[in-house]
Amino acid sequence: MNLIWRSSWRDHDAIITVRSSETVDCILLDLVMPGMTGEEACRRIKTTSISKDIPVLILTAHKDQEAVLSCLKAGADDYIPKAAEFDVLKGRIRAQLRRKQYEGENRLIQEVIETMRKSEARFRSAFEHTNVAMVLMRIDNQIIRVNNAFAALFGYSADEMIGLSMIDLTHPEDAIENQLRREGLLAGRSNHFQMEMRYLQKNGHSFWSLTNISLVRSSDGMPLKYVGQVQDTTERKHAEEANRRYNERLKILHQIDRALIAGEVPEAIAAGVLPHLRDLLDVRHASVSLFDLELGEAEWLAGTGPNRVRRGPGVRFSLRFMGDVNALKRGEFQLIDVQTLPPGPDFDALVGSGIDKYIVVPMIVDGELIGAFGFEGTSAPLQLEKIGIAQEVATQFAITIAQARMKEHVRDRTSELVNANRELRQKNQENEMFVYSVSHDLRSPLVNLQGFSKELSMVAAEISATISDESVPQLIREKANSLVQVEMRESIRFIQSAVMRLSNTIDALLHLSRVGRIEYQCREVDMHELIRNLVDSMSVTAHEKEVVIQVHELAPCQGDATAFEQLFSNLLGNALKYLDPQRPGSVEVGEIPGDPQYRTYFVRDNGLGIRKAYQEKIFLAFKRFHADAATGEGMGLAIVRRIAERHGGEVSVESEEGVGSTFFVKLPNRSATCPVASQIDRSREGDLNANRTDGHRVGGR
Amino acid sequence: MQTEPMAIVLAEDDEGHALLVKRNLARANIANQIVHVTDGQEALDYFYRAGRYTNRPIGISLLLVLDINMPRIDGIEVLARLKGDPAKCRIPIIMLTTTDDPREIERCYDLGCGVYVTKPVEYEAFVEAVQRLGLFLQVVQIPAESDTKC
Repeated sequence: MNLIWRSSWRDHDAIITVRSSETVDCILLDLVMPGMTGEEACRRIKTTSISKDIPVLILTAHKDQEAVLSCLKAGADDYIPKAAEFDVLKGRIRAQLRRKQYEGENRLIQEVIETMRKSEARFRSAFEHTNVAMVLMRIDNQIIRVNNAFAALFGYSADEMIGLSMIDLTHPEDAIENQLRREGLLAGRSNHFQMEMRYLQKNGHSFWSLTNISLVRSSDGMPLKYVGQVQDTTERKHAEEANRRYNERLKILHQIDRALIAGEVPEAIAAGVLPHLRDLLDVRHASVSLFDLELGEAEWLAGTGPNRVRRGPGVRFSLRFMGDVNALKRGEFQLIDVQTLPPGPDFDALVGSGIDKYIVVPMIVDGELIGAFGFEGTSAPLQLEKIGIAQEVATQFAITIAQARMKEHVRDRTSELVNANRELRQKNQENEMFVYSVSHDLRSPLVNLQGFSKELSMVAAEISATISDESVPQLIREKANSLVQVEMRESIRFIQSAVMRLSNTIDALLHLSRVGRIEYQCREVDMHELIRNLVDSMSVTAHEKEVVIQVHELAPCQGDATAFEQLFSNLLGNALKYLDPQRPGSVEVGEIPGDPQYRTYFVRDNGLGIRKAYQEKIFLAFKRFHADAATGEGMGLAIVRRIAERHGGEVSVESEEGVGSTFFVKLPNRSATCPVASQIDRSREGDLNANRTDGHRVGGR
Repeated sequence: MQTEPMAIVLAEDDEGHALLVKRNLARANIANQIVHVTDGQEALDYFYRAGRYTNRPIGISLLLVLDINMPRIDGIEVLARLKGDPAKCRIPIIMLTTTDDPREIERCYDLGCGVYVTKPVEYEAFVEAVQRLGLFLQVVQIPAESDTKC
């Protein structure tokens, strides 16, 4: 204890000084002091909150009862006569100090009690009224108290729950962890834990929660009870679970998609898809089969999972194993109970594989039932989702199978067409080679016929000269002359004319066969220039026949220039040949706009025209319909058509008898049948063609 | 100008054609010796002095008038053999064809034929062609058989 000496207690500042700098346990006041009386000082001390609890003892020399009383009234705690023994003074001071300490402690206790009382009330109120489910449990997990929210969460009334064991309300799968964590609390590793766990409601349903458990200990550290807070997270948990499943399903569906795309043939697609589908459905057995409705059979396409029988393409079984086919056709799934199936190896296999129920989901495309997915399972509510997934996949699968079949079909058809095309081309070539060699062989004897008939006529001329000699008798001369000059010459003329006709025909045939055999060299052909050149070369004939030829603008076209020349030369030649004597001839060459992939040129005349019935036949070889109007072999339009077709184009005619004809030539602007022009020099062939009319040719390198 | 005697080998299976060729060559005043062989094999025998031509005299200049379509070995083959043989490749060959098929003609050229004549049916044209052939024969440089190296 410190003893502070003051000679006076002048003013309020002194008290402040005491307050701020010193711990004062007791104040001794003289009653009479300069500045301020002891009484006044005492009053001030006792009315100042900071110092009011400091014991004040008044020292007095007087036995002045009034003064002492007024001091006591002013708040002094005791008075001591100055004459008193020091021991008395000491004892009284000690007594004052003890009193002060006691009062202080007592007040503290009171405050603590009050605080606790208030806190308890607040806790109780919070516990009772909060929406958070709360529970108080004994250390042995027996419930002491629950709030309404807690009771409602578990489906009990609050009273019902008191005395129940929390262990019984915990989901068995979470009980052990919960217990371990409580033990952690008891062992003092922490005083609080949080865990996600499930509880069981009164009706047996479980729900997910976020649970907080705190351990309350007594002041000496003994565990008293648990305070628990349970938050229902079932919905969140469901959402999370749904999300997880959704992602998982998405992933598998993606894999299924890839498997669907990767496969070329139904078997491969099925084999690729099925393992993923099995994962998606979380089943051991899954299979795909295609239906043969006419035979009432299904054929395994693929299967996964342990099985007693061989499965896969080619293995067939009765459609009875797929349930009600009509229901499947309507898109309804079937639940098959194995026990209801007919006995037999398939039945045995199912039983042997440990399957007692399975679901059949139809695969329908364009309204047609083509097969089904099968997987083990029942129609319990939880299965409905799986069935939904299977139906989704089945639809996709059915579409893919249909596409694969179509692709296969197209592939088959394409290869058939390619083969047919190749055969046709080969046949065509053979035909043309045949025509070529026959014509060739026919030509040889013609050379003789022509050559020797000419020899004969030369001989005849010599005979005539010989018998014109005077020495020959008149009668014989006349007779011989008649034979040689008339009959022999006539015979020779017939032979020669026939040979000429035959020769022309053979030439035409050779020509036509060559149109088919010759290899085209494609380039862009300036059709306008080509036609103009042709028209120029025919200008003499046109002038003689008083025909006006008009050439419109013509777009260029891809193709073989020589062949085009031949084509239009024939058309223009015909136009000049088959004129109608009734009117002056007019020929027009132009182009019709249309599909940009094609060029459609036309050659129009106002000539004789062609009877409807003949219009298609005119493009056939050796067909002539105006034989009297002009000479020809009937090969021109056949060549025209052959050239157009070899370029991937076509020719057609519009014609009216007595009005005129229009020939249309439709040519692809880029001909697929025609190789792009290479370095091959065509000038030589051009020369040869130019010489063709000579009938013979002498050339040199 | 060649002064040594020159023989014309006419390879032609058609007797009529051969006769017409011979007659018209004569009419065109071509008086060279004409050896007529009737197929490709015989033509080769002649040039390689084989078969019935084993003992034919050598040293005369030769010119071959070769028909394309012949039995056994055709004209194209004969042409190819002779032109492919360094010892025979300088023998001038005139192809006699009944076709004006550009591809066949091109093939003859590719094989090394210098001249071709298309057999015409028109007699006048034929005469003219043979006459041209005759004129041609008169101006063509015919190497002696012995110095044939290409």
